[in-house]
Amino acid sequence: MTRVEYGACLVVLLGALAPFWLGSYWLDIAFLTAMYAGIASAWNVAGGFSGTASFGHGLFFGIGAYTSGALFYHFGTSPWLGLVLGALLAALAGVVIAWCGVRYSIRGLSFAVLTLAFAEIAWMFVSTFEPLGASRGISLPPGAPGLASLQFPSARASFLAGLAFLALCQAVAWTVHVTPLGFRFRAVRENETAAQAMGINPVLVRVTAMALSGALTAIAGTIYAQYLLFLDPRTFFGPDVTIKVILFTLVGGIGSVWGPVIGAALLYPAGEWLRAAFGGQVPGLDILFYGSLVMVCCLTFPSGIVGTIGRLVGHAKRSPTPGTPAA
Amino acid sequence: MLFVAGVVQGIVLGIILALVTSGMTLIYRVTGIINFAHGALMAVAMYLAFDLQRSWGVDPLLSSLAIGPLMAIVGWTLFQVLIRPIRRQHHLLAIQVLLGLALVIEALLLMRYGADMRTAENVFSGRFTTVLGVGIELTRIVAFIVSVLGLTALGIALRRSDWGRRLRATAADEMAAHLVGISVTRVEAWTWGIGVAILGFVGPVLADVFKMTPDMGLRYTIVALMIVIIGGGRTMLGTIVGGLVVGLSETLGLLYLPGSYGGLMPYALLVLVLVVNPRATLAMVRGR
Amino acid sequence: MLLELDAVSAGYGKIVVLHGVSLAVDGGECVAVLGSNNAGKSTLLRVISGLVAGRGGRVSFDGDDIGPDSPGRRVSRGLVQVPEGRHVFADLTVEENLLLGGLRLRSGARRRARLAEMYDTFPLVVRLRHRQAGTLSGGEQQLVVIARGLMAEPKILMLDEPTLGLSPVAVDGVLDVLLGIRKAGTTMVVVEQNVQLCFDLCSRGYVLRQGRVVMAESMDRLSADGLKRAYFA
Repeated sequence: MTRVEYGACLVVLLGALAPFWLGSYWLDIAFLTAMYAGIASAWNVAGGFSGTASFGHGLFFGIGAYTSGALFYHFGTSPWLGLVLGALLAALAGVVIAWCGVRYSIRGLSFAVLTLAFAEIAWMFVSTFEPLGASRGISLPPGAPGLASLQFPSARASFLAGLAFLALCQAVAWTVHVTPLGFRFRAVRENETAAQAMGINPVLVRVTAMALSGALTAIAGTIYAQYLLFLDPRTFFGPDVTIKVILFTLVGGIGSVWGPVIGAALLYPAGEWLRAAFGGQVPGLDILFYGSLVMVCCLTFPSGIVGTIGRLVGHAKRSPTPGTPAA
Repeated sequence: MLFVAGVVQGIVLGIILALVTSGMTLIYRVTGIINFAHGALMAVAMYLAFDLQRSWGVDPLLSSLAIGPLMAIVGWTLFQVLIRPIRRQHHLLAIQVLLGLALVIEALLLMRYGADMRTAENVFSGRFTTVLGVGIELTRIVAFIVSVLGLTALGIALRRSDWGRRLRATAADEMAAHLVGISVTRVEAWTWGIGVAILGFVGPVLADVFKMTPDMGLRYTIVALMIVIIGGGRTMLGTIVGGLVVGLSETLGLLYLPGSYGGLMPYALLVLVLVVNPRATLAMVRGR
Repeated sequence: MLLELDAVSAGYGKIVVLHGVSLAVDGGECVAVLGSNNAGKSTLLRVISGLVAGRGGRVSFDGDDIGPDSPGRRVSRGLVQVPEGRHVFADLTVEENLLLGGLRLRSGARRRARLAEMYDTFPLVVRLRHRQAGTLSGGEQQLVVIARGLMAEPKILMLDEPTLGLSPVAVDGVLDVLLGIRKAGTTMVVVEQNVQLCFDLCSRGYVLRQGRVVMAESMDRLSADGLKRAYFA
C-alpha cells in the first residue's frame, strides 16, 4: 500500500467511528454507505484488479437477496444458511459468466454487455416467476431481531453489520492485491496474451475474480434484504446498484484497494443529503445534482481521487489505470 | 395468421429500432464510445415535440424537421464539452459521464413534464391500416417509412459521399486518417452531431408510437446497445439485422410465450449471439 | 531547404526518444534515415507529421515554422507520410483508399485526374481497385499505401519502413516503384532497415543512434564499416 492509501485508510476508519455520535437518520445512511462501499470494493476486485468489468452485478446482488429471502419466506430457513447458499450460487454464476467470457473470447465492453444481459434476463425472469413474488415482490416476515436472523434492532447494530461486511470486502480486496494472486490479476488485465505466455491461466484468473466478486455482492444482497424486509426485482436485479458502484469506484480510483471505499464514502452521503435537502420540494432536483456531480467528478478526476491525490502528493507508486491506451 | 401479424409487427418495430440505433453505431464505430445517454437524448427529442405541440400546436412530423438540426448541435456540443477531454481515458469513464448525463436529462424531464406517461399525436394518429391483412396503427407505418428512408439515406451517404468516406476511414484506422489529412477530431465531432441528430429527426415521429416517460432513456439505451452488439457494431447492414432480430424476437416472444417472458427473448438471443458468433464479438473487441 | 529540423526533441510520457535532432532535406533529394531499432527513426517521422508533439527545437517546411500545425494542416502543405505497418483503411476499397489520399486536392475533378495517373503508374493497383484493402497481400497493401500517399501530389513523401515484413519479390516491386517516384522528381525521406535499398535509392543518409544523429553523409561515404560502427558501437 502507498502512503496515500494508508492516509485514506485512516480517514475511513475515523469516518467509520463517527456514526456513533450520529442520530439514527445518519446512521441509516452510514449503514448504506458501508454496504455500497463494500459492493464497490467487490466490483473492483473483478473490474479493477483483473479488468473483468461487469455491468451486471445486480445479478449477484439479486441472487443473494432472493436465495436467503425466498428460503426464509417459504421454509423459515436461517438467513445465515441463505447467505452462504446465496454466496455460493452467485460465485457459481460468476464462474459460468466469466468462463463464457474467456471461452468465447468476449472481453472488454462486450463482456460488460454480456453481464448486463444476464442480469436483465434474471430481472425479467424474477419479475414473472410467481414463487418469487413476480413483479409484486415478497414481504419478508420480521423475525426475532438479532444476529441469528440478521435483522437488527437498532440503526447502530445495522451499521455495525454493514461495517463488518465492508471489513470483509476490504480484507478480501487487500489480500488479493498483495498476494501473488493480485499480480496474476493485473497481468491478465494489462495483457492477456503476455500473461498467458508467462504461464498464467486467464480462465482461472477471470473465473476467480468473478466468483469472489459475485459471492461478496451476494452477501450484501442478503444483508440488505434482511434490512429492507422486502424483496423487489428492480431494487435487487435492476442496473441501479451496478451503475452506482461503478461510479463510486471510478470517482475513488479504479484498481486501488481503497478507491471504491473513498468514492462511496464521499458520493453516497452527498446524494442522500441532496435528496433530503431538495428531493421533497422539486422532484428530480436531487437526481439532477447527483448526475451533475457524477459528470463533474469524472471530468475533474479522470484517474480517480486516489490517483489524483497520489499524483499531487507524488509519493504514490500507482499501478497504471487499466485500459489506458499506450502512447 | 397470428404468426403473420407477429412478423409484420416485428419487422416494422425492427426497422424503427434500427434507425434509432444507427446513431449509436456511428458513434461507436468512429469514437469507440458507447453513448449511454442515447435513449435519454431520444427522450429529449420526443418531449420537445410534445412541448411544441402543447404550446403552439405544431405537428410532431413537422417539428422533427427543426428538432433534428437542434439535436445535431446538442450532439456536437456534447462531444466538445464532455467527451473530448476524456476520450483517451479508461472507456468506463466515458460511459459513466454519459450515464451521469442521462440522469441529468431524466431529472430535467421529470421536473418539467412530471412522471406521467405522455404521447404527442401527429396527423396520422388514431387511424389504422392493414398490411398483409394485419391491422396496424398508421403512425407506426409512418415511422416505419421514415425509418426506411432514413436508413437508405444514411447508407448512401456513408458509401458514396466524401463525408462518408472520411467517417469510415477514421473508423478503420485513426492514424492513417491523420496521415491523409483528415481532421479526426472534426470527424468525431460531426459523427456525434449526426448520431444525435438522427434521434432528433426520429424521436418526434415516434412520440405517438412509443410512450414517453422521463425514465425511458436507459431502457432504449439498452435496446440500442443490444442491437449494436447483435449487429456486430460495424455496419449499417448489421444494425438493420440487429434491429430486425430484436424487433421480431420481442414481438413473437410476447405472442407465443406466457406472461411477459417474451420480453426475455431479445436478451436470450443477445447471449446466444455473443456466445456462438465470435465474429460479431470480435468486431466489438478490436483494441478500443 | 524544403524541410529543416533544428535541434528537435520529442518523447512519450517521461521517456525522451529524440535528443536535439537536426536534419535538412533539399527539394528533389532522396534522403535515408538509418539506425537500429529504437533509434528514434519512426518517432522522427511522427514528429515531422505532427502525430507526436515536439518538445523543443524547430520544424520548418518551405521556410515556415510548422510546429503548431495539426497533422491535417501538414498534409495540406504537401508533407505526406506513408506509415510503417501499411495502415490501409481495411474496410474501404482500394479506390476509396486512393481517393482519400487525394483529399489535399480540393476539386473532385483534379482528384479523379490524379487517380487516373496513379492507375497508369501502378498497373497492379488497377486490377485491385474494387477489392477491400484489408483483403490484399502485404506487398499489395504497401503499393496501395504508397499510391495513396502520392495521390496528394506531395512535396515530400516520407516512407517509414516500406519493405518491412515483405517477401523478396515484393521488396523488389516496392524498390522499382520508389525509383520511379525519385525519377519523377518527388523529394523523399526513407526510413529503412534494409540498407541495400537505401544505397540503391538515396543520395544522402542520416544515421540515428539512441535519439541522436551520429552521422550525416552522402551515401557513398557511408561505408558498410561506418554503418556497422553506428549500429553496434
